[in-house]
Amino acid sequence: MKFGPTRGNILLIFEHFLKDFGLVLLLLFVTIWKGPQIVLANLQFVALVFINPISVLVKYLFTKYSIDEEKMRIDSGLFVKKTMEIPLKAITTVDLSQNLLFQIFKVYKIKADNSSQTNDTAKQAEVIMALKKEEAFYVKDLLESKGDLKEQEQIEKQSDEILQPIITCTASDFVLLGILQSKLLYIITTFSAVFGGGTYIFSILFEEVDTSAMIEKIMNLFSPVVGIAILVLMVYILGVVSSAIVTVFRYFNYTVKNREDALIVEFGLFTKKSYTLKKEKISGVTIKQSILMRVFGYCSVEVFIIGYGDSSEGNNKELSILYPISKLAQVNYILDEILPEMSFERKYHKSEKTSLRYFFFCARMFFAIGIILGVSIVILIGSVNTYMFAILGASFAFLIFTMISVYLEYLNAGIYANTKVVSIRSGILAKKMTFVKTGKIESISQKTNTWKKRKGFTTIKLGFLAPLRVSNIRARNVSNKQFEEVNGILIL
Amino acid sequence: MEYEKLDEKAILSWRIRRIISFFVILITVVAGLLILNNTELDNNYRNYIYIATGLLLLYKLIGIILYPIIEYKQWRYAITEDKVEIRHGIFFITTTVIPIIRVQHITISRGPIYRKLGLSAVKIFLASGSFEIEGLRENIANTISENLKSRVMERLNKE
Repeated sequence: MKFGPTRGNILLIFEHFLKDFGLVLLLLFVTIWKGPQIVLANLQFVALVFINPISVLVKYLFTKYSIDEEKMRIDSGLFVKKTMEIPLKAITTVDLSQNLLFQIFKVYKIKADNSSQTNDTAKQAEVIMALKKEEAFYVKDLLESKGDLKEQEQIEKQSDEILQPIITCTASDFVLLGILQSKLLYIITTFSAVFGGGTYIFSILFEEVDTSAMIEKIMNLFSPVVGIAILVLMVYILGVVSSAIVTVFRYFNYTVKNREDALIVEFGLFTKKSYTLKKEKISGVTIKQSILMRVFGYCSVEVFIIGYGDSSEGNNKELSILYPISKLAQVNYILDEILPEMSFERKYHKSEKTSLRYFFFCARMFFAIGIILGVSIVILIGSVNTYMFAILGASFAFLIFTMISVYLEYLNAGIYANTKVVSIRSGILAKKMTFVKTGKIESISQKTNTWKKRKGFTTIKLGFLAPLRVSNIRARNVSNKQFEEVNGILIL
Repeated sequence: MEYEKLDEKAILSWRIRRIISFFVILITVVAGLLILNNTELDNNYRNYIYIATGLLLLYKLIGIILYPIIEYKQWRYAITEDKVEIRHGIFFITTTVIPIIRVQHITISRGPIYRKLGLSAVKIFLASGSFEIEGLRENIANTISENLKSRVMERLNKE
């Protein structure tokens, strides 16, 4: 046995402090503010507050980790005992991270991911433990070594002397990324936080103030059109600012080092993270451009590897970023440098002109037509008023936007394949170019109907090892020849 | 490449599955209509809801008779030296090609309907997902499974 059996450091139970202990803190706050009577009167609810802290403590106490030359073993369970063994060769990424609490006590969280995490056993196969600094680095080396610690130490020793960051990003890069990337998620989150949670907390803290009357009073200051315009602008600015702040804090001091066998990604201000991405386990990369990025010639790069970019902190999904933001030419140069085994040509076979009609057979077009039909039926039944005609007009505008989006999707669709890489291009306003190593493709599917097949068109989907959210990449309505081409290369 | 077809009993098995799902929908719809009758709704809207529900049930009924036949005609599979090819679908035909070297493991499953009809389904697992060849006679399923297993073992021994 080279390490363990051990439970690791007890700080692990505070990993998701706010999620697991937030309600306990809130209870403490309420007790101090409103007095213990309110707590004693609601004891049945108070008991619920302790469910999460007790469950994480039990999980910690009844889980033990050990590592030998070939495998990692995890024994867990209070009533049902479970033993899981993961061969070291199956481990794809090992990452170290520290939140503020961990930084104070010099403890690192280690997360090891393996290939089986693409299927439904995902969460069960995830390994997370907390260890003191020396132990953490020793375990990281052990997990990366595939059993041969000496060889791994040699690689790291040689590399550490010459290893300089190949990609670095400053706060200004992330502010730019925050401004240029899609804001929809942040806008929705900010809007619901400000207007949902905000007014609720306000009403609790200041019981004597009637919040709805206050909002009505503010809204009465403006005409409806100006009021809505101000509201939309406010929410957009809030979205941009919150997106930029979150991105800057999360990816603070972002660097990528190019080691012989792996890419080492490090970042974080409050929670410091270090990922070691084994090059042989990388399935592919994707180059993304939002509409604003396309206008200014910028792009960002994400990498496909199990274990990187599939964790989340609160409501914010962590992305598998490799190059947060840069000019396209610089990205091409760096990709050739760090992943030379992949070819990043751009000789796409575009969708043919005659395939355009098939792009219109999509859910959003049916949805738009459905709305128009629905509104028309309501008008025909007898609800003829200006309000219904305004809705009908808006529905036609929505249909026109949908048609434009479909046409843009047709323009962006494309695929090419060679013995090194298969690449799919897709997108509407934002564009995405995905490159998957040919050797990492596990299956290829084509979906077509009788009419489309007769005309020689099909939709191609690649199956490859990647976190679930990125593995569903399709080239829509491309020539059937492309399917045969990829098929031929795949079986070689 | 020569494609194999499924056992004809597959049609009956799909039909039974569709009948079960039809009755589940029917119970839900009847419950929904009973609730609807107790609400105050404009008669015009009520009629449209009845028409929509009737059309849905009719579609499902036609599906029980027609779709299993179409599905059977479309279902094909082929296993060669280096790949497994599966083709299926009703309106949209999906063709999947799996290189045998990517197969991780194989399972044979028999649900209650399949057991009654003497059928089996072979599920092929890859690291990135799984694919199924359904409606096979038990002996054919066993042969396919053994064949694929031996290829997987060959690959593992080479590694």
